[in-house]
Amino acid sequence: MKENKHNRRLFIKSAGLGLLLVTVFLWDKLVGTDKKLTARHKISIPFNPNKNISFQNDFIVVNQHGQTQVFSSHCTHLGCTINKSQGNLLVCPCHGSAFDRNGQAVRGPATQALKPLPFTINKATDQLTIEV
Amino acid sequence: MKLWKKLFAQTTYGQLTIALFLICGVSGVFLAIPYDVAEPYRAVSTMRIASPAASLFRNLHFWSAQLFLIFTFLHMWDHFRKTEKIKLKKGLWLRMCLGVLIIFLAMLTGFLLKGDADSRQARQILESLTAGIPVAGSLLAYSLLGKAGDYQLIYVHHIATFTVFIAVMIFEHARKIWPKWGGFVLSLSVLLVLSYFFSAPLHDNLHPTVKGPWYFVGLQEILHWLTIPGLSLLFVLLVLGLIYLVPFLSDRGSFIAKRSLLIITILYLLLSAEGLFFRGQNWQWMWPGEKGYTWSVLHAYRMSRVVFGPDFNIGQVVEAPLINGRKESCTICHSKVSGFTLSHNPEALGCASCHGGNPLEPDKNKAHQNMRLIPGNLSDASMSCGTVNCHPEITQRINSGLMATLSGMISVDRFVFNEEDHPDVLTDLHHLAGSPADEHLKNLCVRCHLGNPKTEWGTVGQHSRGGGCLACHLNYEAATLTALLEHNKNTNDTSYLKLHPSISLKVTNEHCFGCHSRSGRISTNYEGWHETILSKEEMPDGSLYRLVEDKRVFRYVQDDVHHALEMECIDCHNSYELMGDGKLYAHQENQQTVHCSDCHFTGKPETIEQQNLDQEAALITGLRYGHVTDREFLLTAKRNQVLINTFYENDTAFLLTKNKQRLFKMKPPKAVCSEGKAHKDLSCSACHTSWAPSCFGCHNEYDAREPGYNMLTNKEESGSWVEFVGEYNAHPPALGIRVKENEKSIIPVVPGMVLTIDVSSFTKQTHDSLIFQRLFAPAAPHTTSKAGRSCQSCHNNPVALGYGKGKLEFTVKNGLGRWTFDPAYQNNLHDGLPEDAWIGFLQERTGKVSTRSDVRPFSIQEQQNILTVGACLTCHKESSLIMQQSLSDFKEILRSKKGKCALPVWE
Repeated sequence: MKENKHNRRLFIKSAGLGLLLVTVFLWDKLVGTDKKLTARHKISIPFNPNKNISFQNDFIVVNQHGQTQVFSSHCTHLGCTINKSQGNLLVCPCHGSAFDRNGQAVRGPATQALKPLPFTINKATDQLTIEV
Repeated sequence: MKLWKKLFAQTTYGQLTIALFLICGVSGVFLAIPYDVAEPYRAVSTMRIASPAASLFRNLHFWSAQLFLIFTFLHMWDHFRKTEKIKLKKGLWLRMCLGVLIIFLAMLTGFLLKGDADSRQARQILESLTAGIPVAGSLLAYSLLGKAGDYQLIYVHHIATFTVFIAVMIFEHARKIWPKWGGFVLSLSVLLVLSYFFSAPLHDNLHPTVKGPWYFVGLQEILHWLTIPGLSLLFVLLVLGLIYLVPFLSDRGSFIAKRSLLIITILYLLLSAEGLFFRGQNWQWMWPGEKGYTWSVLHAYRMSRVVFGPDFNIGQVVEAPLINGRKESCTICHSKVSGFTLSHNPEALGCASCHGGNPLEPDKNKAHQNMRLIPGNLSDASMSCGTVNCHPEITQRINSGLMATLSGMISVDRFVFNEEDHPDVLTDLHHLAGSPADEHLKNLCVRCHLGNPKTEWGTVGQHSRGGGCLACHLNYEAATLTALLEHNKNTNDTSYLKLHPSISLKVTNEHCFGCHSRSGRISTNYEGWHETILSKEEMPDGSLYRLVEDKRVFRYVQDDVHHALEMECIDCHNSYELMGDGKLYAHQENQQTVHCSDCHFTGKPETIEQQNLDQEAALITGLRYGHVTDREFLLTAKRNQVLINTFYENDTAFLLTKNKQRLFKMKPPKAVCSEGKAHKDLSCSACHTSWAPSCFGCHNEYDAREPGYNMLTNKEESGSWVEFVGEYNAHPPALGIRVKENEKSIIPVVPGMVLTIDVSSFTKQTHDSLIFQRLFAPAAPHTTSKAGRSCQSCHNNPVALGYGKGKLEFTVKNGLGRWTFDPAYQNNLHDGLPEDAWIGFLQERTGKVSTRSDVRPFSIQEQQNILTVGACLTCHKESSLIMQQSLSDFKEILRSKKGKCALPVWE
């Protein structure tokens, strides 16, 4: 009798754990698939080479010395959106981290550089396409 | 009394917590009706502005949630402070500890659902922190917050996942879900009062300061100090762990855990207070009372009461445009206002981005609180013209420009008062103190600076001084001005509210006139007017005299050749000269970049293509000339600044005036300008300045009885420095030498500071003697003439040489030539030189001679060289072959001179 009870508990625990693992597996699959389905891979905006700094929702376009760079606008400290510059610095409004125009962190708390994003410029259409 | 006793007898923390939860849930259901998960910020802001009932339910939801959190902790503490152990099963206690985290998540998701600037940044932080959890971080973050910019999943978690969990948790440990009526009535009463008087916060998306909800501001402060933000999760885990362990530890251990929690709570509250009241823009530390403190730190606490009778109807709200993703109460009332330029259209900018106030208030008075009736003054430019999406770079750099610092004016005045060793010290008018020179500046000089605020509506004109951005960019159309004048006559006439002055690039000469018709008087010089010492009553009739608004009388001499062509000030001067380039300069010639040779040149100039323009230049070019893509613009030789109203095409340079759009082909300098070596050091203005105003002999003293005016504070005061003017003249200027990095340049100079100052009249110290100065200043008179000065105008002119007016004569006796000079003015007692002179005849002055360190008069040798040519010119016409040849090699001419030619001898 005792053994049966022990076996039943073990079975229920094992089944519960199994169900949990299956759920987590499916949850992970669900999220992974949804991310792929809904992610925007490319964003195009009009390219303005005259604009030194252009803040968009998720990225910052920097034109300097005849070169264009695109960075993620999310601060490497905690992901806040950087939407302003002070002098030559890109400044995070949440905790005051600052980055130079090459994306390098020059004032904490952030220590890592802004993430550069790959992009292409179509001169015929004056479009800047960013791969997010 | 019995009723109240009964009421309070039922009000344990636990009972109140249940009542608050219930009210929060029910109010949330009502709130869901107007809420829009697709456009949360628009929905919430519209509730605030146009729907008092929705606003009240939102406030009820907000306050019940905040108090629920507080009472949950009080309830917990109530149990912790008792000595008996909490008797709950481990599993239930674990779920309850987890429930603390869930309560925070429920609160936080509610904060995110506002969709304002605070919420959007908080969402990023939450996502980043959650994603940082090892192994499952990314999965949890996505499952908690969903797709970027989407609020659906957050909403679901807020109303279902977390709310259900909390409800179950309450029921599981309290075995009840309905509060006792006493606690409910008390909670509801307090909440209704709170909800009516204090609205739930909503960021206006204009202020640059962003903060999390009050209960996370302490965490935000901790995160500010952590370069590895994931460590903050350990802090959360520590707190939850301590709470969990309390019932299962020994008495001693439990005591230590509870005390630790108490200390952590106190420290956290202190950090929260710090974050709430001492952190401003970019999380920078700010003290209360510091400039901008209220605007930067306290803007989130404008929690005004619910307005049940808005000053507009629903139809107006529907018609009002969406601005920054929300309705703005300003544009609901102030609709159909005209007069704006396209770039400042209120349908895109709204009103609050310039005028401040509270755009989310339905009540007129509340909406107008802290409003800037005249935005654009430098004191608030960073909050109006310089906000994030507008012109932040300009409002940052303009304060370093000379028109804001007045550095040159101040350091020269101090130098004249013998308070500085040299006149090129970098300073700022905010550093003015109480010295004689500084008080002299405050009484007589420093009204003309961009920081001087414009305090009255109306045009920028002859009386205007300062006004920040408005000083140059404000314009009134005729109808707008008429409406304003009508309003001034009759305040009930509100037609002016429908006509707005424009803010534009149309900077006219009138904008410059107020300040620049003084001191060097370049505004009036440019138009050909020379100030006299005549009074209004003494002014002769006729078109040759002009009375300006401040009653000064001017006499016509000759206008600048560029003025005759209808060019305006801004056709030469660019934005970096006028608004500064972010660097500090001692004097205007240091800040100035444009020179004559940038437009009048030979050969191929330096140019820049349109696509390589900087942001500001490109923007201005687009606004002025439309979409021009194929232009090559000229660059200034100094600092390579673009002249956006020029272009180079088919080997020809053109200038297109900024306001009037007149096209001119630029002319190269005449051959004579660069002919030979004789005049290689001559600046263009030395030759082409037709006249310059000069005044000398003024006396300055302090009169304690004189009604004075402090131009820095714009307040009247008793006692003032008084200036007694000497004589005003208009004639071709004297010449001097600027030596810079071993390069000599001959430039026009005028008597900048030939004066006396009675310092003792101010200090009342007998040992302070009378100061006498004879300093000349480099001048840019803005009286350019097409034809240059004649040879005699310099070589035979005592004024040009610095001797002052008088009879300069060359006589030949016994084959020997001699120059003599008979001054028109008497010699000054202080230095023995004629009143209007810079130097004595064939004498040398060194040391303190000019208002610049790098400017000096001609040396004796240089005077002799000039006068030697002057001697030739007494016989030979300047157009003669020999004089033309002398331009190339004067020494050779001297060697081959004929016997009858008498050169001057020098004694």
